[in-house]
Amino acid sequence: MKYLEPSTLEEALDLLDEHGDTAKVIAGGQSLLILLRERLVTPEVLIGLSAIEPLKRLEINGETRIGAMVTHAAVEQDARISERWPVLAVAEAAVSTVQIRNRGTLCGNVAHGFPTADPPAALIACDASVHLVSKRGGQRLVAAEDFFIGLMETAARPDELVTAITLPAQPPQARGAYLKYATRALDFAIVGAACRLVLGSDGAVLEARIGLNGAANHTLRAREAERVLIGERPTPVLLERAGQAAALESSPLSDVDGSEDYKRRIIAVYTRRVLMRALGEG
Amino acid sequence: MAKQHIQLDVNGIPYDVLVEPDRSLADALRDDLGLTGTKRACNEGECASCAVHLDGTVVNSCLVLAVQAARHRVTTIEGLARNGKLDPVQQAFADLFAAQCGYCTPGMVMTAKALLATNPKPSEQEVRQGIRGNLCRCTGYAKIVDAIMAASGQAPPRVDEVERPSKHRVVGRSLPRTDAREKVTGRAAYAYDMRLPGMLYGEILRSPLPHARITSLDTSVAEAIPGVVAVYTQKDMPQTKFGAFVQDETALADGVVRYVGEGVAAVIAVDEQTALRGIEAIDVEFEPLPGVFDPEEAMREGAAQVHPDVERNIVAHNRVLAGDLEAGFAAADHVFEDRFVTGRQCHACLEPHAVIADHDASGRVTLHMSTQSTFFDRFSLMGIFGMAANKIRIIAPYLGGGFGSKSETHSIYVVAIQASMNLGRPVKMFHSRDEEFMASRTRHPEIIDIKTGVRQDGTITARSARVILDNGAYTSYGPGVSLTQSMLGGAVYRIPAYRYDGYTVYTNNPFGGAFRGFGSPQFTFAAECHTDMIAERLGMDPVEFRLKNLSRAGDRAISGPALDSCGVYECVEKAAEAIGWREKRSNPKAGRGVGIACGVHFTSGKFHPHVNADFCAAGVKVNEDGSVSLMIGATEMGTGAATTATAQICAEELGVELGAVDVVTSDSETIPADFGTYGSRVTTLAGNAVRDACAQVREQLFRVAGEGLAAKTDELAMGDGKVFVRSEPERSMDLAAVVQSSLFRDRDGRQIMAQAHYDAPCSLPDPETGVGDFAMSYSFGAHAVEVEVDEETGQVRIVDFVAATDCGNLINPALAESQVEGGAAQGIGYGLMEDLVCENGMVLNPRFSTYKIPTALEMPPIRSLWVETNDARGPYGAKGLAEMGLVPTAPAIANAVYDATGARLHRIPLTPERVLAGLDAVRRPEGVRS
Repeated sequence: MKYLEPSTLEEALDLLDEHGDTAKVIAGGQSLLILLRERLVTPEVLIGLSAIEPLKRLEINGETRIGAMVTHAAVEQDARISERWPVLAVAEAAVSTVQIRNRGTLCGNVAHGFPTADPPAALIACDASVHLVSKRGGQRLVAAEDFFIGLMETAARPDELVTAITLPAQPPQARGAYLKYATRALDFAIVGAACRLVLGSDGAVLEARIGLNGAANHTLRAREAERVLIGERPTPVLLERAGQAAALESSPLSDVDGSEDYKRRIIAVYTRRVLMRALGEG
Repeated sequence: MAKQHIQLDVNGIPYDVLVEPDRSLADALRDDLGLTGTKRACNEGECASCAVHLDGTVVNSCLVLAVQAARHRVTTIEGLARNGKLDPVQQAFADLFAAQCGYCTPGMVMTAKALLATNPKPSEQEVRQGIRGNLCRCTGYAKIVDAIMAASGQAPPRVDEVERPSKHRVVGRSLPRTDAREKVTGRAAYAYDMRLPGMLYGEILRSPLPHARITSLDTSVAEAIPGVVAVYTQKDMPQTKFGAFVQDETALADGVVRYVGEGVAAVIAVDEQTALRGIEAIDVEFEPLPGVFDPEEAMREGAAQVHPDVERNIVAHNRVLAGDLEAGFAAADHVFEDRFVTGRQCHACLEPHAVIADHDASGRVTLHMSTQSTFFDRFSLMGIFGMAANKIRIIAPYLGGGFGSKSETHSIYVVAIQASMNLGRPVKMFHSRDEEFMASRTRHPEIIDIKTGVRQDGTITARSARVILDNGAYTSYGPGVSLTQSMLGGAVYRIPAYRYDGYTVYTNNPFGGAFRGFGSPQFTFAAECHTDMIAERLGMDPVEFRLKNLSRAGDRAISGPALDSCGVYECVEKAAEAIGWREKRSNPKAGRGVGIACGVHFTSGKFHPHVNADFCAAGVKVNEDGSVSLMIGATEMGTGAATTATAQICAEELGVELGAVDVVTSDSETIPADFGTYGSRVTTLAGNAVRDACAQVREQLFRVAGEGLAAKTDELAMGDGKVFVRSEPERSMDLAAVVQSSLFRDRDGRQIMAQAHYDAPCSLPDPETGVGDFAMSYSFGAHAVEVEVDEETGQVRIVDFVAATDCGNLINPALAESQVEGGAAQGIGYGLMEDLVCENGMVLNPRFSTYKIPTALEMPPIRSLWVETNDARGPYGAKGLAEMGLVPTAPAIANAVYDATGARLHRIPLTPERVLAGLDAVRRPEGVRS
């Protein structure tokens, strides 16, 4: 294996194009290095992004643009993020451990496509987009909810690089929350629920976005649960129904943390609770 | 893989290194730069033992490539102390007992340091959040959190009764550990970190199947890899089988593999990476055999046999028959029977098992290894290799935790020795984290049917228990675990008639071994849940029921233990009082509950039918300047017993300061025979050996000083580093003068030194009845907990925890407290989350991210209370402690969960899913409680 460290994005894309499937991109490496050590991936070339200055930028200009080399810690600690995109800040603080957050990047986490990671649900709730670039295909933008496809499987093609995540300015009346259910705080979520609600002047839900980690082999947007809410005034019964809808549209995986049935129940509970939290009631 | 040249800036020093691109920063620091203060415990970013600073932020160095670290500033633990002056965080860790085994300490210190750099005055909760990624298996995090708070200039969040008046000068005081500086600086030596010149590395290819015949094994490709020096299978290994109770193990599989993780072949190579590539290149074919995974099924006629000559897979049947059981049950108004099941807890030592075998040209093998008992290991290896005792030297440096798992021969020891013999070079072998989980022993899972007769007034009339131990594929300490619980199971309560039947049953699961508590945690879980259930059926308060039946000092327990000191009654009273039992039980709150449980554990003990001995040894030498060298046969596993408690006893006895005593531990060649560190025995047994050796030394000193002072020896006393005449203290000689007089000038040239061997006064159980007073003494404890249960998820949170303990008198209260806190953490893990999940023999969670041990955030504050019973046999009245800390934890939690929810769980761990299922079963309209 060779380690290459291009200093521009163009160089990185050239390398990715040249080496194709035999290359792996490494940002923080907090997931990739484990896969390498367990020989679950065996690239011939490792393309490090750490010398590409523009990828280290976290820019806020109405929307926020988080470059591929921005760490979880940098996102979590940015006061502008916690003020304007608090759902993401909370999800970032929930990621693993301080050692991992200091090294791991948000984009790397997203590119890894792990179904129980914390940020993806928050990104769906915040209506984020994933920026993909390749030498041949140029740039494209994929909505977070369309990006996660399967277990460690995403919409990114092998020659594409995740260069940034952008989050639009949140609607003025938006209220959101992220709630994580795990055995221990440092664990991957058993269930991680994120939501963003916009209420009308009559108190009815105008807009709802719910992202669920751990609800399937990939993070999903709980559209059925959202449908239950739209146009209705939030009541305990309504939130309960939304939770049930989320559970129904989920297909969680059985593992040592719990059976599929158990996790479905947790999804119902945590969907309801995250909605309550967003509404200031939980 | 082509190496790349990089420059690493570590602690301000530039280093030129050549590294493979996939080399981790942790490995580069440890192996290329020799900076082994950075620990490697999981190698997957899941424990933070390897935490270092990269440009000032804390990262796991196992998840940073060395090539990525080039041109960045790296700071390691070695970069903190300057000119012998500790960093304030290190100093606080040293002063406040925050380092036990020391293996997590460097990563913890580096993490704390980074936390305080960005948040100089963190709250306790912020500290716990900040170190949530740093796993510790010894401390329960309490003293670590205290130390970080103290380093931040804030008073520790709680003031304990650590400093209490002691009637002694050194004993009974919370003096800092003598090994603290070594551990907080990362300088303490561990076998896992050591290297010898010319050393080779070995790795073992392990079975992916739980039961299979090896039909072909082709090592030729592996042998051809450059750097692979040898490939071995069992035919290259000694053929003598080994095992403490039943000799059923071989170094590598004897043609059949019997559990997932069993060794199939070994590769010896020039480095670790090449050895790993070597085992991947071995081609093995297996013919799967039918397996047995449930011990009850394994006992049925016709079940597949794990070992050909063991029918129904029952390898041992332990019994205790005491009193007239039939009459006892006949005298009962009620007979209650319940079944309980316990989980497969792993030791999860931060330092994996490690050995360096160095067979020299004269035919002597020197072993540097992470072992709790140099004596047991040497004895076992003598038999396996047919070698003389004086040809095997075992040196145990500090252990990065042991908890029982490092108290017997592991296959890496045998392979490393044989390889070193064959190749004439030192060979190092160690477990990776998944090997540690799958192949280094576990606590035995048990199925316990327990039956008790009681009168209507709550008096116990008889008890019987039928226990099935899931032994796994090999026997290890299985029968000893069963024997120990069989005898201790009769010692907590006054029981007129008692029967215990324990079946140790082979399965094709990873195998059990010795683990802190040695049978008591399993049995106590069953007995103490059962106790609450009986009390409720009788309409009695569980505390009242216990107090009515508990053993008292002076009792001889039905199973034989002579309870010369016994403070369990007071422990239960104190724990109940402290948790607010009466008030909280009479004012139930939804989702909240309190529970209590009590238990017993031994101080060492005779648990092997053929070993009628139980000894420790110590050597004391007074040097020509009056300083004292103390030689201890036990190893320092983390408790502080071998290095600090024994030194305190020595200093007390010789009238010197603790700082005047230096301890050397665990070298089989230079220290008299000693069974080692296990069974809560070091402070007491070694402590008595120290006292005896000191008494001899005192006699020698008095003989010499008596002449110098013209006084009779019985007029002399010691203190303040002097020998003096008791009636005229100013007539004195410094120890230095006495020793010099003896060594150099006036005398016949004698060294002032003595050795002592202390064999505990106890006896083997009767072979027929299983009854006997099998241990030196018996410690007791009661844990009371308050829990909060999320009734929608089943998740249990512990909000308050009281541990009242009778371990006799305390030699070092802070060290004692740290044992209780660490024990509570393991007990909470055992009760709530720890279980190596095996599905048809396949291990589903062999890593720290999936086998979950408590972090700082899961640990409540632990309130330690003491019932000091002044045991007549122990030094200064002390009894054993280390294991007691976790014995009654799990049932206290289960009883509290019942109190909170009405759900009685018969199985641990109390996973949220099980709790929720229990809640489903009892769910009633709100407000109604059974």
